[in-house]
Amino acid sequence: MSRGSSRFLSDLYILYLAAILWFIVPVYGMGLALILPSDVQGFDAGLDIMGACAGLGAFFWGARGGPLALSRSTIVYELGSPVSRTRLLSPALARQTLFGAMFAALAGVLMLAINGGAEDGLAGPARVSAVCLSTAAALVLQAAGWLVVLRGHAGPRRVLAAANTVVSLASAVFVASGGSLSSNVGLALLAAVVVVSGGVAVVGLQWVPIDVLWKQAAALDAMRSSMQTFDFHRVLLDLRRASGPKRVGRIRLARDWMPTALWRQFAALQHEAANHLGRILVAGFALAALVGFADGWQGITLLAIAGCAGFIGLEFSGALAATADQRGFVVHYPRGSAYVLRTQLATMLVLTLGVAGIMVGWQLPSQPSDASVALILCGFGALGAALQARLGSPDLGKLVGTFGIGSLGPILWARAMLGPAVLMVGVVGLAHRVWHHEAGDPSPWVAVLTAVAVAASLVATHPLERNPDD
Amino acid sequence: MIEVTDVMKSFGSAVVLEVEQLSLDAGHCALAGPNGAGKTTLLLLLAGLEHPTRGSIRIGGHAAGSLEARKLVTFVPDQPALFDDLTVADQMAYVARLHGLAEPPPLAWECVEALRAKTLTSRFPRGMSKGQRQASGLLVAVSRPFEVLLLDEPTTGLDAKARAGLIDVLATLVQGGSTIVSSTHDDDLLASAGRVFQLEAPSQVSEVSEDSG
Repeated sequence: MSRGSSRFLSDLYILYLAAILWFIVPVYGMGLALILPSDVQGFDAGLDIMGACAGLGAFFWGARGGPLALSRSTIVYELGSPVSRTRLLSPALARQTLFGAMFAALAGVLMLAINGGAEDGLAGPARVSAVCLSTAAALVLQAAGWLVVLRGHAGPRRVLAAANTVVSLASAVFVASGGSLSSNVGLALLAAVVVVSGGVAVVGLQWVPIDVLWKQAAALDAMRSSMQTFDFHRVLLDLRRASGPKRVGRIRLARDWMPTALWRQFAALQHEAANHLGRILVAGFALAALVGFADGWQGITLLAIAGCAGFIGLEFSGALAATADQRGFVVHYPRGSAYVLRTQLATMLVLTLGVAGIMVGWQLPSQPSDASVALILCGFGALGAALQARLGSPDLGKLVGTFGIGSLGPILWARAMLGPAVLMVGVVGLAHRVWHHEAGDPSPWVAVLTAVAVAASLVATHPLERNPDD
Repeated sequence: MIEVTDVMKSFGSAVVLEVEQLSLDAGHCALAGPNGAGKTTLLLLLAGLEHPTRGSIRIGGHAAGSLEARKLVTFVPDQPALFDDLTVADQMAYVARLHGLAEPPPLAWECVEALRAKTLTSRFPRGMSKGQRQASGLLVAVSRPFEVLLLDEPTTGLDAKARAGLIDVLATLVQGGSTIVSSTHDDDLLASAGRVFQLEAPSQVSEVSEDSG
């Protein structure tokens, strides 16, 4: 069997699995809706805003290297051969588009179910899936076009840029003028956007900049190795290296007068200060918008608030991630690794909650209760990020020695999921303690939340020494 | 400075190291022997990163791995542990600060010169060659106060000039009263050591040379 037909059959099988998942995923979403009650109001508007912003996303993605994730061997042996690059790259782009669209369709139907909108037959989920699928396909295809326009060295770049801009603006204007992407007109418009974006991408493929793909491939190799150990924090860092912009000039943040733990955080941040700051600001303003304007009674809003704090926490958790399971460092820690890890965790929490406080604090005078709950949610988001950082880069030898090779997979999965689990328990617990709690009814949630926070802190600062004597 | 008494280390049923008595004072002691003879295991035991199955190891009178012993011992593993989010210069400064120094001691900068690693200090570990990582690990290790320096295969990957520079640095450290224990297959490094111990698999340690240096 040739490589092409084997890959085709494998893709077909994945599509078959996705089709089955499409029917199963809403059940899980409805289960989640039971513990995080939300309703479908506002979901369609959110979907439209997402569709309208997809063009902007494609622009940034294209500028950062685009969707053509190729291996180094493919670049050397296939792109180095005297065969049309359009012919060689089209299947890769088609696969990325297909899988992106498939993932978006599943995510869309899951979100609809979480928001309580998947109970009225198949028509609603089908429309939502169609919008998500088309938007994601257009996003991937446009990103490939923007890659040629923004990072390429040849080709009809102005024409390609104009075509991408026109179709992006068309959907944005349609939404801005009150149109709904899930209506028949909206779906037709999205189909047209996909066709034009696809044309732009296919025309541009022959001028794809190889230097950009090569740089990306090296980082992707590292990313695959991180994926094999379920080290999702490392995957995120590798992804940033693969697609991130060039480092901007160093800003001196770490100062001599700072306590060592704080100096350590800023010493790591200062090399890509603008990039870190940009991500913190985006997550911070999203947090402010959620607390200020979103419906706080919706479970999905609470989850998003904790998620934003989690993203901010990840920016400040570099020190924990770099120390994770690196036993060789303990010889340098004159007060013990537990002390160092505790100061790193405390500094990370203070910085994260400081940013969250600035973004949420303006709500305190008018809505002290909501703002306080939001800050506690941010605390759980930050703790989740800290756990994710601390449990990344696992010492596989030690794990195999302790649990045996047969248990390694489940153990790695459990480690990878602990951070999100803490975030989730925090959100569910607070939702049920604060808003879905009958007055006078004894609630176990305060005890549960306290126990989870303490346990997460202990795990995040568990000493590196095998037999700590201090 | 280092006292090893009746130490045995096993992994499962496999005994990888057995030492009846070993005393080391200031000077450079090299561990030689074939792969699997237990050189790295002995260094890990001295650093406190592994614990002996039997026996005791004391550094300056303190149990290996205890906080007091860790204040005296610095270690460069075979694959140096480096913080991947800090440049080498930042890592040197961080380790110095952890030990209460405002900045790395002059010795660290002498090492930078000797290893010809000035451009290395502004780089991140990711993407470094084996030799560059080795040099970076050494620079970080000497950026703090110590009395015992443990080196696991320190010359692996270093070019000839950097290797010669390293041997000069070790000689300076010995003159300053430090105790250095290195494991190596490098003839030049073995020749520069005051004492050489031959480890034979699976568990025999014998001294093959000793001089006044």
